[in-house]
Amino acid sequence: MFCRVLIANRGEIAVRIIRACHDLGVEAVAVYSEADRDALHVRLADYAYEIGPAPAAQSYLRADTVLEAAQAAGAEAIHPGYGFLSENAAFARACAAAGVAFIGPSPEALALMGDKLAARSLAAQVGVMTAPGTLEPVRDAGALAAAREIGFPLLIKAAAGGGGKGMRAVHSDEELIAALIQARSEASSSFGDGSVYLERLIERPRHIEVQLFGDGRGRVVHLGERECSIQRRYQKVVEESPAPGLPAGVRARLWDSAVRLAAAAKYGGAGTIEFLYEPSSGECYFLEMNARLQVEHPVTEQVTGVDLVQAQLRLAAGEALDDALGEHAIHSGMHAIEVRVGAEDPDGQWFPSTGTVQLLREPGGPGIRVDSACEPGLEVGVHYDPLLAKLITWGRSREEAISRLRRALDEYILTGVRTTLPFHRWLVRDEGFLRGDLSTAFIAERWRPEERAEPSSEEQRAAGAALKDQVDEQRRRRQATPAGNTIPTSVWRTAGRAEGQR
Amino acid sequence: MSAAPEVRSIRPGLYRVTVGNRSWEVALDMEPGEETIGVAFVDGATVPVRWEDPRRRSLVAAGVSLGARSGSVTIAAPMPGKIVSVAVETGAMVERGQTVIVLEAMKMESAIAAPHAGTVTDILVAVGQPVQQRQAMLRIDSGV
Repeated sequence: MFCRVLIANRGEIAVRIIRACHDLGVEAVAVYSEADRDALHVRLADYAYEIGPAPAAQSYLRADTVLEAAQAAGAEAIHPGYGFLSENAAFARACAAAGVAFIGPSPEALALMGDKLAARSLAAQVGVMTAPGTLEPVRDAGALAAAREIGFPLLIKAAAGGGGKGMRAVHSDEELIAALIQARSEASSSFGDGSVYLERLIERPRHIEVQLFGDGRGRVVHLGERECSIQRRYQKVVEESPAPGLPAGVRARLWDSAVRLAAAAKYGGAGTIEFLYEPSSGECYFLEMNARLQVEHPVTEQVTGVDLVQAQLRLAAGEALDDALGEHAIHSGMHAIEVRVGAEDPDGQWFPSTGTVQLLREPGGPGIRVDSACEPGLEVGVHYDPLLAKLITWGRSREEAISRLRRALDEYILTGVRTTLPFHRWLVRDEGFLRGDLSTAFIAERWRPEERAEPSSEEQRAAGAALKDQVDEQRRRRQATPAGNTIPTSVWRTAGRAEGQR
Repeated sequence: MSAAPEVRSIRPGLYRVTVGNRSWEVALDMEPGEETIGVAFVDGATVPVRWEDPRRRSLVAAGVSLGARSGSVTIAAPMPGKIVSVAVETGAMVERGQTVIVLEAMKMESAIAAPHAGTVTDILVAVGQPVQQRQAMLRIDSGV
């Protein structure tokens, strides 16, 4: 095993990886931007290196500075987490050249899977179905003809993309060109590459993905599937394993397709293959491969009993695949669900919210896990992903996992920034979710924040009103002077804000 | 609920409310920068709360028109970002839900929609301009 590993990430995932290092008796080296000097991951690590200003492009995305920190710290390996440098083939190559192990697949596998079009071709070669679409980037001239051939509705996707960025749904000829321009501009600002391609839009699909581990020589072991259908703007909000009510034949086909595809790519390390499953036709389409640890890896851990991050470290340190994974169970009978607690306003258009965390109480007890880097006083800014924490619950059935989730969400207190918690509290009481009636259109079809029936009882409302009266009374006592006498300049701002919120 | 409710402050923002022996935990979350709009979390359930702002009353008394009274709505930036495009011109009629501005933030483009139908009276931002959270971007008059 390594003696010292550098974690090229921040937030909850950096904390998660540091914990795996410490569980294995490995020293953890943190890197941090100026904005993260006091962050939890920096304090939990054994060594810490400042790598630049707050914007990620000048800190967490600086391959050269991160590698220098690893060498200065004497780290034998770098764990990139997810996002940032995790799927950067050039960075993986630079690590290899510097004699530092990159905890992830080979640069070749990264390059292959990072190119969504090349990955689609590979899938076709090994007989894994992909959604009908173009095999080349499209230009304006050819776009219309290609679009008509595929048929509407269709999706414009970034060739270098992921996470829904640069992605646009198009329903007709007229929308195509404008959407292409927008998708390209988003793709080039996100990935530095504006090429896009077209793919038929599968309607009301379920997003199901298979977690796997490869040894880099063609042997691949899968760890079951995860259902990630609850998304907004193609970004996952809730994940669970196993996928509820999935026909056994479909499940077997997904596992088999994923293993074949990863084996053909001689994939090494942890990876995930994403599919769209169309319940109406029973078809499964390969979507893409994520050549890294996923945000939602904990649900697989709770079901199979494998610590995926430890397994990554063991594999990278030279252990055989089966030793690295250890004893594990795909059909353990356990069910796990994760909800992403993001600094986003689910009542608005899921816009990121900024502020300072005031009160924080994360839930606990049986069947509950919180992966978080949140603390009171944490400044939630604009520079990084709005993910604050992940709440994972599990049980011997989906019902048990959900009832623990409901209880845990009611215990959860996080104030100071708007979060997705109110959405999750609604979700765990929604009939459709409880039935397991899932599709990627779930939120668009069912979530009506303006019509949301408050889950509160009359009594709860009365308790809220009692508090309001009390605070009101305190304020009246404080405001001894008539307010009209002293209008501070900020009144104009206050009024503007109040207007903007209507 | 016959007994009078009692409120105990545990620490700033966190309270215990009791009616007789019935007990709730209530967390109070105020809108950043606002003193009148908040959300109370009562055992996990959200209860919106709003206080009257005495300063605002004095503004109205002084003849300053506030949004709702004139039928005018200001669309403010929901988050800090950069203006990618402005889809309307001053004087244009817009429908409820129509995209008026595209804002880029966190490397993602977001379409900002008109909250109700009306006439665009002011455009306060330009393409490429960075905006702060809650900065006014556009005004729409519903003519009501």
